[in-house]
Amino acid sequence: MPQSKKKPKVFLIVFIVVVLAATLFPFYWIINMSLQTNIQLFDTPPHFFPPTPTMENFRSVLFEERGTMKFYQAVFNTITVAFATMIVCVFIGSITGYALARLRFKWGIFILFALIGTQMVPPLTDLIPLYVIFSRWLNLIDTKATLIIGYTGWLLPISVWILYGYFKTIPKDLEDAARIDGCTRMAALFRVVWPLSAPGLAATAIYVFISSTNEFLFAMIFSSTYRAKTIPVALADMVGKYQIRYGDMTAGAVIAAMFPVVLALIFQKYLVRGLTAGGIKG
Amino acid sequence: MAEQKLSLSGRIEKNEGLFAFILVLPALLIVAFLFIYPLTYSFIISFFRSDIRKPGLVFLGFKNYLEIFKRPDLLISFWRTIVFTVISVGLEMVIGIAVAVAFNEKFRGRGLARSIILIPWAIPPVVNGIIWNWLVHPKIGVVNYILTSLHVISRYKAWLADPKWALNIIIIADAWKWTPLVVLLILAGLQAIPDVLYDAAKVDGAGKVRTFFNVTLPLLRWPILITLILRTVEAIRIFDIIYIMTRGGPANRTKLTTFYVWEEAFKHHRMGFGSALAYLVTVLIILFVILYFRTIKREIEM
Repeated sequence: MPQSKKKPKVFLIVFIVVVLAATLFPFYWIINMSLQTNIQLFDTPPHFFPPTPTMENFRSVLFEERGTMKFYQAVFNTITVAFATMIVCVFIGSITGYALARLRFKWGIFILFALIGTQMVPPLTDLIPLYVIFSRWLNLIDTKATLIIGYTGWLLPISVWILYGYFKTIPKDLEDAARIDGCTRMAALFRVVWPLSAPGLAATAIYVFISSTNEFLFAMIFSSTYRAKTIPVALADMVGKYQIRYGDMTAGAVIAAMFPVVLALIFQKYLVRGLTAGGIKG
Repeated sequence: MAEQKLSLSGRIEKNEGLFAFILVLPALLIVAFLFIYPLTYSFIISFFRSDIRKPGLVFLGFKNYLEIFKRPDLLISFWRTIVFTVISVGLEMVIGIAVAVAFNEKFRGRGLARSIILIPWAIPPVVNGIIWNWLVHPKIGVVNYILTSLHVISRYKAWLADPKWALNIIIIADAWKWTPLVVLLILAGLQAIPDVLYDAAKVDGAGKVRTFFNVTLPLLRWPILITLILRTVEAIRIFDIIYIMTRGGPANRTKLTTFYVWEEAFKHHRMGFGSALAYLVTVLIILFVILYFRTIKREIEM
């Protein structure tokens, strides 16, 4: 009897170890490469650990300009755009989510589904006309503002959805009590509902931030210089060029991955809850 | 008299419908400006010749759409997009559900394991492409090193230049990045299943495998449907990894439909034709979603 019980457990552990190894190895490998010199990268067999760990590639990609490439500027652009998008999405997302979750009005459900519907559309269907609008009519190509506006349109519906779900879980009594004490609805939202929804707000903020830092297609189409180019666009520029140093690209890739990965790990609990809430309850 | 003491904002708040409308107005304006108006515009120009470099439209009727069906390269790209979607999403679902079930068991370091699985999800798609470019690199790729050491292949191979392998490598890279999302969503679904049901199955003498198929899987119907839709919509739109890894090559083998949309609209400046193609991709997405809903509905009726 004990034997038959042991066997599945061993199988389970082996399976989990294999899964974790497969998950970690590709990420480990790019970090491993980024810490080697350009000569070591070409050694056969490849080094499974950096023989003489060096930060040279990071210094090189961040502080040495090659041609038009300004990686540090791309880092700055990415953080600016992601941060601004996050603020806008959390603020507008919460007043919209609040109205849909709490107030009775005719078109509530319709608006909610219209917002979700926007997510079914392939981005390119939307990007072609947006490019015409931004380039020909607004003359807003190659600015960080364009990226912020575009990302807000893309991420606001999801923000509303996550926050709507969260506000629904907050008991209405607390808010009513505040209103009897003379709070206006807006004050009740910001002083009572917001503090109680901190996990939901955090999940939304982190999700928006990560999505903005990682986005590529929109940024590539709407930026042409380092006034607006983000890290993914800078990396894609490197891939297309043969004279680029391999070390620069590996270090650039690690820098690009660091922000979202570290944020996701720190805020894991909130993020997972926010991501999965809509999925289970429907 | 009491009414007059209320400030303007106070009076607006009294009217719940009006107040709600004011709160949702910014979001509505953003969606109208960034979706409703552009999508209408692109639907209209899909019947025109429209070049971003010159003003003016030339009416073509259905010519853009007809051209799509006359071009074998585009029809093949549609077929390859469907194949890519079915294989990659299928792979992600099967592995993802298996991993979620494993992660739902009690074992030491479970919290850490659930953190680690989040890493590929957080990595930017462009970086994902770069990582896999290095892993399968023809000269310094560690995959080549390992496979030659194990004598699976006799010498280093340029995987992404091989028409038979390029799309498969992209599928593997895509699965590595997105299976974790499936794990997270299914795991959340598993945690919502009350233990009582498992105990009942155990009392009935059902084995682990039978319990999984008769108890667990039917209860996961809703999370599975949501995950399937999310992943399918994303898979049909795939662009970033392809742009980084192959740019559509070798011999157009990895040029899936969205890549053509980008190429036609932004490299060949054919905005009208690109829009027509993009609308057919939208139709493809809708067809998949309808198919899922029907299948799941039939399951429920049975």
